Amino acid sequence: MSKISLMINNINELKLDVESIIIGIKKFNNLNMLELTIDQLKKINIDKEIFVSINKPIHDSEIEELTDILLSLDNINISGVLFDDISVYQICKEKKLNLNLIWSNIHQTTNYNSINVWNKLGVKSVFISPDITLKEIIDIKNNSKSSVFVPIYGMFDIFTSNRFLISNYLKYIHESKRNTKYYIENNNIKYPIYENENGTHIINGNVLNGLDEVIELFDNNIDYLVINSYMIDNIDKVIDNFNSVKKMYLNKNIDKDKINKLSTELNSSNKGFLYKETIYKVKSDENE
Amino acid sequence: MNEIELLAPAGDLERLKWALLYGADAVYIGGRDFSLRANATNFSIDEIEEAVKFAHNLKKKVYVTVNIVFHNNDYSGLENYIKALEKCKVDAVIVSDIGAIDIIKKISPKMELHISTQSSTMNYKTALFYKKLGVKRIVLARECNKNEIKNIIDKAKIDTECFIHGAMCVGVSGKCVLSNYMTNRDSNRGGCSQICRWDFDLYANDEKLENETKFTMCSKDLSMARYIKDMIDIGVKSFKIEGRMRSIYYIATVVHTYRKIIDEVLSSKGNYKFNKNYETILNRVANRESVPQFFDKSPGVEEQYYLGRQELSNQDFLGIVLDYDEKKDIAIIEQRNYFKIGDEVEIFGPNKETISFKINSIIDEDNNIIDVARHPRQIVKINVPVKVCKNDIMRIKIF
Repeated sequence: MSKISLMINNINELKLDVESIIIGIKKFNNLNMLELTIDQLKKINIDKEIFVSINKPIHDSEIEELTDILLSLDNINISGVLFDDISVYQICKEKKLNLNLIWSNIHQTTNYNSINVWNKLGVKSVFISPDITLKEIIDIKNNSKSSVFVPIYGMFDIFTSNRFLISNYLKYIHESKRNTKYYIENNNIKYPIYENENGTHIINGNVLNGLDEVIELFDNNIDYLVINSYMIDNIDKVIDNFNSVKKMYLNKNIDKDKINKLSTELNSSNKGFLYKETIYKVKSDENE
Repeated sequence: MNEIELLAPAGDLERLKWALLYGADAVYIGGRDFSLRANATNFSIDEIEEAVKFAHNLKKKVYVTVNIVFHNNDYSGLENYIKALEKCKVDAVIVSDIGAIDIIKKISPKMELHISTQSSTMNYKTALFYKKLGVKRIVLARECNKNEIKNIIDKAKIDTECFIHGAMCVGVSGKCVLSNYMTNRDSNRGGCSQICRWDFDLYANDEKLENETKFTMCSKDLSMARYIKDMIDIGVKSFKIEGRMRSIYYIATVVHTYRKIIDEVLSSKGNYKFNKNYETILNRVANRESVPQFFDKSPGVEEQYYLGRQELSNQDFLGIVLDYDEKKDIAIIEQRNYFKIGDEVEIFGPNKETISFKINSIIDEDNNIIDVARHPRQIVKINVPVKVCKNDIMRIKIF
């Protein structure tokens, strides 16, 4: 049965009713979630699976620090490490660490061939890209032996730069940076944009809501349904509703109208790419 | 061939020939599928075969990009495509997807593999992983600085390729899907609609920052002209120019300029001094300012484009030499931009010093004396005091 995994953004969210938690490692995480140091991580004592995210492109100058972090994590009781940069895998192999690695190159985990190659290399889990269709997600699950994490609710990262784009702009227009949230707007959607020590990140401003799809995901033995709490005011409600659907499924008492109502309560009908394929070849007259 | 490789882009056969004639040691091209420039003209298999023959005759190389981020169904046809590329005798394929690498290794075990910059390799541990996988070369991320490049080369001992010139992705390659979310065009499968060059309203919470200069992420282009010697010194093997969709004038000019820089470094015997005029030539041909970006520092406001950026149409390119009559000192020119009697111009070409002169006569195809060559692709004769050759290029005198 699928577990619900929460990318937390606040330490208080540890107590929410989910089976699994994802937390970023300070300085080495690229995705939008709470980041903790190794020492802070050690102090967490909860009866849930804890996955940590080392999800940034790693610069050569960071290899030593990364190695120390991985060695520390190997001695902590965590359920796994989500990684983007292959150096994480390489260091774990060289140091013979027993960490459960989850391939999590968020925009490139888009096909089962690659996932199966990683599986043969010992990486038995994958965080699926939010940029692909529901059919592609299910095909991946049905054609690979890996356990899969599927982003199903929330706002996910859509851009990473090593440049400090907000600071650069504010400097150019002679304004000071404020201690506030920044957004860029396109087509009436406001996309959160923020800087951390690694550069600039942009988050999809349109909340993905896949609650209507979870029955199909349960049917196809998806291992983890991932919810990101970033800027979600009613995260308790979101989790309650996902758990309600899960309970229905377990009780074999599926009521599609009720699921639809629960979904509507979450104030987003955005299905992301679940039913929409991206295009990459355009007609010549569209490509000026 | 030199151990140092100058690698040029080619969007089609014509561009490929110009790039190789003007001094590239190798070119990279895209086929009709599996390439990250899905909307470039790109090459059919027959054209790839012709391209390889042309390059190999000059003892030069052709690399083919197979560097999309694959979705499940995208693998359809890949095996046959790789077999066809092998039959064409391409020198390497440039890949990023580990599933594609696996298939290529099975289908064509001898095929040389280069890891695309799409994989954003920034450290030696990742380079070691690819090396063990059988990869011959890594195109490093554009975000690597000098020390990082050197350390990767020293510790991984693998061939490295670095971008030296052209447009930059402002995001880390492979980590930007703005195009997917704002236009439904898939940036990781070749459909990027260059959102990073758009202007946006920037908000601080609900407050729109009012300024005549809108927020943009647009960066200046990359130019490593003044750092070529440093790059050679630290062991970079291949020097890559961006721009498969660029014009032949751009390709010829940029390739020619970097060819001269590399040759000057290699022949300098320790006394190399960078000629700043090269940067002027490179800036003019692109109509965009180009800077070193990450190599020597972390890019800041000076590396970004805001209001007032200049992307004017370039009219430096005046014509192509079709033939030269040595007895009469007359060159036959195919016009590409307006020029007239009295204009100061220069002609450059492969393996020759650039020559400058003033146009003192123009004769059209009907042997009429004219003052101005104003028609696109008009064939005219002009007096040129020094021998020039077919496919030399005439441009406005820059210095």
